[in-house]
Amino acid sequence: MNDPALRPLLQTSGTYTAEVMQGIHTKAETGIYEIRGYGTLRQRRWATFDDLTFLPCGLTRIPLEGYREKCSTRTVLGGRFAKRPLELEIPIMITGMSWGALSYNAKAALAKAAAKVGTSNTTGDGGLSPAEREFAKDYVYEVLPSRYGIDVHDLRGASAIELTIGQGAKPGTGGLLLGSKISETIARQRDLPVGVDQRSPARHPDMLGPDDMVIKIEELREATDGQVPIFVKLGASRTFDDVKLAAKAGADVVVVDGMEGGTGASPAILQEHTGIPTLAAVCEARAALEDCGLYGEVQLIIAGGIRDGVDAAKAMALGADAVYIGTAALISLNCNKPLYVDDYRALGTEPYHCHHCHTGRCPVGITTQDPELMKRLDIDQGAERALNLLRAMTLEIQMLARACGKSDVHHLEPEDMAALTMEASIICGVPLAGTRRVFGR
Amino acid sequence: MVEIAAMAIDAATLSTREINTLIRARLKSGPAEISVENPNARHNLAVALLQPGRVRFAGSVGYYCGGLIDGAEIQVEGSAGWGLAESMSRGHVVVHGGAGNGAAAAIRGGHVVIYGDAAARLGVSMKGGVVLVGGDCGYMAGFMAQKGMLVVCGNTGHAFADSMYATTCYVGGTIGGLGTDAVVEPLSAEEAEMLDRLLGEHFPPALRAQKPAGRDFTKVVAGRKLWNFDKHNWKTWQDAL
Amino acid sequence: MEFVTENDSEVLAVYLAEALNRGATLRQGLDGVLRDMDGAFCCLAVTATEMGLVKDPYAFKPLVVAETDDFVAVATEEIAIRSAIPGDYKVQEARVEEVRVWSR
Repeated sequence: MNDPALRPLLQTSGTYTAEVMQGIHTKAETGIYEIRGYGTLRQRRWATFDDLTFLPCGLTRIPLEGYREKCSTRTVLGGRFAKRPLELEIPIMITGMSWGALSYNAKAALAKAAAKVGTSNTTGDGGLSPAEREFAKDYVYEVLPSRYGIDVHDLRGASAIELTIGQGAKPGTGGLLLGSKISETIARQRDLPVGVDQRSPARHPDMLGPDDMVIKIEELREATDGQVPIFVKLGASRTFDDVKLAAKAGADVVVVDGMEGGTGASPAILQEHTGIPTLAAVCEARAALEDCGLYGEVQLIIAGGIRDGVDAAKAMALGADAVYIGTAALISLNCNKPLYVDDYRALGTEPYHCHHCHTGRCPVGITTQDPELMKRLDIDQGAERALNLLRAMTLEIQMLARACGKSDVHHLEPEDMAALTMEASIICGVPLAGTRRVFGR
Repeated sequence: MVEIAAMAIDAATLSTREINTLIRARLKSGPAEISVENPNARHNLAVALLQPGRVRFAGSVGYYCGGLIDGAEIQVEGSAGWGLAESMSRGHVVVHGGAGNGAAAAIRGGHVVIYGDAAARLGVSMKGGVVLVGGDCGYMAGFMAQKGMLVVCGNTGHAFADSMYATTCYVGGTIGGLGTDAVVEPLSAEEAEMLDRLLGEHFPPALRAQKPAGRDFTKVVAGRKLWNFDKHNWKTWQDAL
Repeated sequence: MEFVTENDSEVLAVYLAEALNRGATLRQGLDGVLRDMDGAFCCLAVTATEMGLVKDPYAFKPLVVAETDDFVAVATEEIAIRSAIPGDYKVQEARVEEVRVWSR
C-alpha cells in the first residue's frame, strides 16, 4: 500500500480552485472583499500581444542593418493645441504611480532614470512628490478625482497635464491606500488623518461628463497659458466611445490603460473583472480616432501590462505613439527579486509570486512607507536598473523596426504583423498567419 | 503707503484668454484692483491667478472662476457656475449671488464665501480652508471633505457631510438628511463665538443680521466608522461602497 | 411598451410622449422620468401649452433657471441665458429631483 504507483491521484476542482476556496475562507473571516496590489493575476486566456508576431523583411522588403543604420526613436506628443509639445528621446514613459503607493526612493529612482534617458515621469494619486521635485526633468502632472496634493505651481511646472478619468486596473473606481501606508508625511501631503484607509472618489469633484470636460480642459489650458499638452487618461472600458469623446472634447493626447494594468491596492474583483484587455483597447482606440478623423492629430499612449520592447512595438504598430510602463519599471527596481526572502515568506508569499503592495511591507523597499524597508532600495542603483530597462526596451523596439525595414520606430504599422490566433486576427485586423486572410472584417 | 493701481476691463470684446492674460499681467506688476465689466457668465475667468490683488466681476461668471488661484481676492457680483475656486491654495473668493455644483471643490486653503445658495456637492473633497454659505446648499455638500471648515447658514440638502474625513461642518438651518457616517456633535461656546466672528467678518451687516446667531448652529463631523475597514461597521460600508 | 435606441435623449422624448398619450400631465410624465430612469440627465420638455424641467437625483448634469415677470429661461449654463437675454435678473441652479412646470 505504500507503493507510490498505487497512490490515489489528488483531484482538484476546476470550479472551486484553491484560490477560490481561499478567497471564500478570507471573506468568511473578514466580511469584506479581498484587496491586494498588482493587477490582473488570472491566466491570460484572452487575446494579448503574444498572439501577434512580426513579419520581418525577406524578398518583398529590405531590412535595415542593426547597429549601423538609423532607426529614430524620437517621440513628440501633444502638437494638436499645445504651444510646447512634449519631446521625448524614446517612446516609453513612466506611468503615474503615487508617492504613497510607492516609497520616496522608488519615485526618486524612476525620476532619475527617466531624466537620464530623456523621457518623462508621471506623478500619481498624491500630487508631486519631493522625489520628483528634486530629480525629475519632465514630469506629467496627473489631475485625478481625488485631487490629493493638488497644487497650481506643481501643475504649472509640468511638461504635460494628465486629466485622469480612470485607470486600467480598476476603471470606474477611485484609488485606495491602506492605513499602514498613510504615514505622517503622506498624510500631510494628502491632507488626511494619519493611518486612515484612504478611499479616493470615483468621480472628479467639479467635472462629471464629456461636456464638462470640454470646459475643464480649457481651464487647464488657461492655468498653463496654453503651453503644455493636455492628456486624457481612460481606463479601458467602452474604449471606442470614450476615446472619441476625449478627442472631441479637446485632448491633445489620449491615454488608454488596459485591463492588465497594475495598481498598488484595489479590490481583487475589479482588477480581474473590469475593463478590456490592452490589445483590444489599442485596437478600439485607433479605430475611434480614425472614425472621427483625428488619428495622427491626437496622439495615443497605451498602457496596461507592457512588459518589454516587444509589447511596446506591437502596441505602436497597432497605432500607439508611445507606451507607459508601470509594473515593469517596478520589477526593474527589484520587485519580486529573490532578496530578503524571509520577508516575502512573512507576508505569506515567495519571490516571483508577490503582489502584496497593499500591505506596505514590500521586502525590497518599493511599495512601502517604512523607512527601514525603503533603505533596501538604493536610489542610484535603482535608477541605474530602471535606466537599463528603458534602454534595453528601446533597443528591442528598434531591432524589430529595423527588421521590418523601418527607419523610425513610429513607422511600424499593422501590415508589419501577422496574427497567431483567429481572435487576434479579428480584433487587430491583421492576417492570420498561414491563411493570408484577415478574419471578421 | 503702497498705491494700488486700478484697471477696468470690458470683457464683452475680449476672449477668455485675453481677459485672463490682462489680469495676470497687471497683477504681476504689483497689487491692483481690477474690475471686469460684462463677464456674462463666461467660463474659466480668473483661473490660476498667482499674485495678490483684487478682481471684481460686475456680473455673473461661469465654471471654474477662481480655480487654481494662489493668493488673489475675487469678488463676483452676480452668480457663479460650477467649480467656484476649485483647488484654490490661498485666496478669498466672494460671490454675491448663488453658486453652482462643486463650489470650493478640493480647495486647500483660503476662503470661499457665497451670500446666496450653493447647489450640489458644496466643498466636495475640500482639503483645508473655509467655506461659508449665507443661503441653502444642495445635495451631498461636504462629500469626502478632508480638512477645514464648512458653514451653511440656511438649510442643507440630503446626504449632508457624507463620508467625510476631518472637516468640521456647521449648519444654521435644517439638515435635509445626514450623509453616511455624518454625526451631530454638541457645539461649544468657543465655536459659537467663532461662528459669530466669522459671519461678522465675511458678511455685510445687513446680510449678517438675517442669519442665525452662532449658538444656533448645529455641528456635524465624521463618525469615523469609514476611516478603517472593519466588518463590524458593515452596514455603514454597504451605504458607502 | 418596448423601445430600443442608442440615443439617450430619444429615450426621454419617447417616454414623455408615451406618458402624455396615455393621458398623463407633463408634470406626471416628468415625475415618472425621475422614478423610472437611471443615469445622468436633465430634461427640458415643451408641449403646445406647457414647459417643464426635471433634474436628476445626483446632480450629474447642469440645469439653471432664470425667472422674472417677463420670462422664464432654462439652460445648462448661465452663459447661454446671458447671451440671449440682457437685463438684471438672477439665475439659479435647479435642485436635485426638482420638477417644475410652467403653463401659458
